[in-house]
Amino acid sequence: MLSKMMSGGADYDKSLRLRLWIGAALLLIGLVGFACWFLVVPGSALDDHARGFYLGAATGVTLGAVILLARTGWLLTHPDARKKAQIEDTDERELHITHTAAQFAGLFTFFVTVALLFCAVAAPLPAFKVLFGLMLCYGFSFGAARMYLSKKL
Amino acid sequence: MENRIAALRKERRISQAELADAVDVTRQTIISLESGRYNASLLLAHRIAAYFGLTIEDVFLFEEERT
Repeated sequence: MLSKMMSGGADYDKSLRLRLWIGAALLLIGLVGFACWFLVVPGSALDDHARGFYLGAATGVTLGAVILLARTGWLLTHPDARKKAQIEDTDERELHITHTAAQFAGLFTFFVTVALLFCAVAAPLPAFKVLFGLMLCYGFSFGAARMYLSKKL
Repeated sequence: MENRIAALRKERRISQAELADAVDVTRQTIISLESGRYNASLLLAHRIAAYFGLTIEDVFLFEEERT
């Protein structure tokens, strides 16, 4: 989604180079997460839930960064694949669908947040579950909106 | 906004994939344009018209013109 949003500009090479920097930054964040997992977490009083979060988040971010770096590197060195990816990433209908889906997901999540706040106050729900529910809500509503718009447009 | 893309394409025996490739969009976008589900931006309309060697008004039929 972000890569599509970042590739709207005319200079696709520039957008690919920007993706390399973003991939490197994400990799650094993932490695910091692993460093915390190995160096800080073992001696801390964190519960299993929090410990699991460090390992899971670090693994997810690192894997995402490696995939982003590998794909971008491949596109920068293979002109045919680059041309195909450029068309897919800069296609105006696809960008329109992505922007509209993000807009819908943002609005939908806002209303769900208000509903969740009532739930969080009424029941002793941990903040983590509320935040995780919000992330799921955004992801689900974005995916559903994209699927609907892809068929409609 | 209606358009004559499908008619022009068939007239010149051009496939959707060929047209999509020439104007730098996906084939799905050409399908959506032809079926009238999606309206092209001014830039894409210009590219498509230029590809057929016509003006935008020759390819895209605006609402005002049909009334």
